[in-house]
Amino acid sequence: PPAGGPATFAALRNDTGGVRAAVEAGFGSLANLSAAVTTCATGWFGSGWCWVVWQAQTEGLAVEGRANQDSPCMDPGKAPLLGIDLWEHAYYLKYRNVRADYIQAWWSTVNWTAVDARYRAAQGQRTGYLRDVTLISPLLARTAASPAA
Amino acid sequence: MISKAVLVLSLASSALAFAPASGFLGSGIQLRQGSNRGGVSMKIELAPLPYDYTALEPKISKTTLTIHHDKHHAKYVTVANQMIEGTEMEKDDCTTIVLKAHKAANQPLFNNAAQAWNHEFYWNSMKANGGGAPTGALADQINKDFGSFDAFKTKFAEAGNTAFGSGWAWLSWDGSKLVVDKTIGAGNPVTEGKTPLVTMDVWEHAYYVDYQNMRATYVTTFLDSLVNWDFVAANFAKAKK
Repeated sequence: PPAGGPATFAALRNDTGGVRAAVEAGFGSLANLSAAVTTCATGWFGSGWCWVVWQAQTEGLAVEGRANQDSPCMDPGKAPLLGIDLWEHAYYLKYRNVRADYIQAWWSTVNWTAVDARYRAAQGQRTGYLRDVTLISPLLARTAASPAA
Repeated sequence: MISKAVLVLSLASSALAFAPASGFLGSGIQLRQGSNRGGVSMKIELAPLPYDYTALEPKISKTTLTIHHDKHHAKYVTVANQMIEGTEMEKDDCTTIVLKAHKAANQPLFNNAAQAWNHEFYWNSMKANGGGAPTGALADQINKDFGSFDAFKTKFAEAGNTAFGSGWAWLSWDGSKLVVDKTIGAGNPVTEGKTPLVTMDVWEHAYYVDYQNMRATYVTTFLDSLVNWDFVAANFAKAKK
């Protein structure tokens, strides 16, 4: 069975610096976050991804769908933590048109240890810089230094 | 297996469905509508495939046609009809709904109505033992506007292969010349005042079962062995009037 999923979420350290606390603060529970992502992912039209991000502006988590290759790291102050691939190639051979079954199964594969590490890294880079959202990640720093044409 | 009589009948009624409609940008393309029962709503109809589900094998499998038509296309029709229920668009033909949705920036309705339009057009853009080359006035126009038939094929294939994400490749008449376009999502050249003549679906669900990631092979197969030049020629003849 996959090593990821809700059990690994429950096993995360619940300190204020970790994603588990952020999920519970922002959404109430993993189930609520899952429902928000599932709604986003089920309803997404065409190719794209649904992302769980940390937003410096609100100092909290958010769910957003993006088209094709677009990533939340294109926006300043957003750190992508988790993404589900909704391009049909990600699920078509196994699930055909039934995207909902793919999404449901996908939750049991989520590597919460990695998500937590990304969350902590985003927090760590944030520490000591007052509202300097461009320092959330090296990529964002590059983006801010040389804005896209 | 579809009987020959039923096949002939459905082809005939498909031809009627594509007979010129009055007053609509002169496009002349009108998809099959549900029968007008008691003068109430017309609704978008899920037309059956113009051929059997096995007709395009091995180029497009029965599995693909079954899922693509009975699940993907069917769902767009159902959702679009749900969305227009109780609105004045209940009485409109599919092209009108697509254009109204586009004009109103009603993206969910546009996505579903246009995908219903696009898919019916796509089924008719193909036939068993298709491919080959156009003849007559259409062939002449292709030579005029693209230089040669091979040049057209190259351009059309490029459109299909470079539509990033989910989309469609089109050959259309823009009022004075043939044009090849690629659109994303549910995009359709009617929103730019063009008259579509043929389309190729490059959403991954159109080819993933049969070709996996090899979209280019699917595109080549479409051009070489599937495209229904009779349909394209008929659309061109109506468009040029």
